[in-house]
Amino acid sequence: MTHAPSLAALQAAIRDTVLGADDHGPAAEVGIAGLGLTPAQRLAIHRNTTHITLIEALGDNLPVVKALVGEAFFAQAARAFLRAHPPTSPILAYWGEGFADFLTSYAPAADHPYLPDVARLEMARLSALDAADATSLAPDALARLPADQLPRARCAVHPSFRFVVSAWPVDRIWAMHQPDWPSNGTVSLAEGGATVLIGRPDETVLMRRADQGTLSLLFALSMGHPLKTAAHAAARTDPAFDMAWALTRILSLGLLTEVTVPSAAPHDNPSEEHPT
Amino acid sequence: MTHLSGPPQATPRGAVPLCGQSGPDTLADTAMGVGLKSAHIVELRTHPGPVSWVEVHAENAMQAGGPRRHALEAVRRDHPMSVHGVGLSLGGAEGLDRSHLARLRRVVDRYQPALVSEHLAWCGTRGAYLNDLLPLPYTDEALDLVSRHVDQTQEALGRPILVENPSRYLAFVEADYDEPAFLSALVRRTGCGLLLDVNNIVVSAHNLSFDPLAYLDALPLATVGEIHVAGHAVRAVDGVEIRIDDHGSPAPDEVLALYTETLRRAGPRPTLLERDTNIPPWAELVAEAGRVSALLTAAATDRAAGIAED
Repeated sequence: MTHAPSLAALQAAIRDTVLGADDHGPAAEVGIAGLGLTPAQRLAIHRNTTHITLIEALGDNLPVVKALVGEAFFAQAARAFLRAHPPTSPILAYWGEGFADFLTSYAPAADHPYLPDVARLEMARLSALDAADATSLAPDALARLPADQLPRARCAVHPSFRFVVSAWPVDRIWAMHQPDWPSNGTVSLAEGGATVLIGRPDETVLMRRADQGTLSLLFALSMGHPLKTAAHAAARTDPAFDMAWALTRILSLGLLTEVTVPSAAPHDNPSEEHPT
Repeated sequence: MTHLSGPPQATPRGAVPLCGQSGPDTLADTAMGVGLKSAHIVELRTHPGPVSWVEVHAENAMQAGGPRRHALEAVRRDHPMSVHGVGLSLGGAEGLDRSHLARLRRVVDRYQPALVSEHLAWCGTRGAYLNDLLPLPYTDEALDLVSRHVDQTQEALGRPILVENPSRYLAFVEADYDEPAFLSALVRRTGCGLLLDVNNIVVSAHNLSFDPLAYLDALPLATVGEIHVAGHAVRAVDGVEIRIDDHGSPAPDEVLALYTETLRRAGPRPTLLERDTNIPPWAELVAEAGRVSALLTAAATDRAAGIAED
């Protein structure tokens, strides 16, 4: 009798076979009974399950990327991706976080330079969809604050806030593949890039374009800085930053959930002047 | 035996009492359920037919918030639910993923399911989740490992779980147990119950050449807390017929015959119709659930008549 491998060694060998090349298999070493087939043929059934279901799960998460490249191309890219970067979590609803980075160096996709950002957008939308719930501030919540309190007010950012910054019109490329896209609508890659804010104030994921200053404002607010400090950070990013426009924008997306004004008016904490 | 930290349990089939305003939390032995698909949520509410409960994959119920979670919460208000894990990897040699077990605990706390189940399988290793229910060699080493993990899971959840027999496509040369003996020992050691998937028995019996009735005879059927019914695909590999457990078609006669035989031996048990690929319209699924439900009801009637005659 041969000594059977430990469970850990057996599972590692099967893992490597399932993720490895189609003709590769450690079947003999791990003691699989053929029963009329070769052990490798039996392991291939498991390889098929892993590959087919993971390719399908990735396509479910990235329907626009899949539509842009077509089923066959997508399956080939997904197979290469899952072999190099198999999922690390059993929750497949978010599997594909690394696919955008993978695509940037995936030679067959070189003709589609916007593809990684479309993948980032789809993953950001999925993440926003299942994010924690919170009640958004009314659009006039800040306007109703006494003017002298506004600079030291702190705003909580909605847990569903996500963003994508792209050199491509990535939001419009995404929109092209939605049912409500007008049949005569077109998108030109020469349109230029987009900074896209994403949020899910209620049951539906929303997207709006914004500018870099607005994004800086949201970063500063989510780190707990008061509005005045956050506005300074935004103005440093974007000299043309318009605070009123930015606040209207992010309130209309439901991205702010709570406003608190410290009762005493403290000096601005110097450490808050340089958000990083 | 596991010493559970939660409320005392009469049998592995018991359920934790439900607090709050959700729907009923226990399943009658004749309760017919279906695996929940998002496409069916509206019609489940308006036209349930014979379907009185639903099963949700644990990994599809882990949202922090949002519409998918709200939809599950609404379903749970109307129907008893079973939480069926597919990713805990009870057979994983590296040990259970504690953060995943904690997520499962939160799902169970939130939805207060009538039943919680997982598989006799492993799902990945060395940082890779393979999205498959991979086979274990039925050795003493594996029995110790799975028993430890079932204990750990039951302690974390504060309640017993059901463990499902897997579909098998390969066997290992070295084994200390066959599958029914392995499952029997697991039940004895941990106090877990069984989720008996009769489709998986048919699939494995074909693929590994064993007798499904002898398999049934060797199991502690009194500990079966739920039965799964599903269909499978038939493929040929090098001229050898292989059954693939794809849940992509109605349960064939062969599966329904083994189901009927299981009910005759074990008595009626809450039964779930699984369909995960080629999802049919709700009306079609309900019609099939009706056919399975009729077998379940007939088994209950026969058993009652048998008891009355004694």
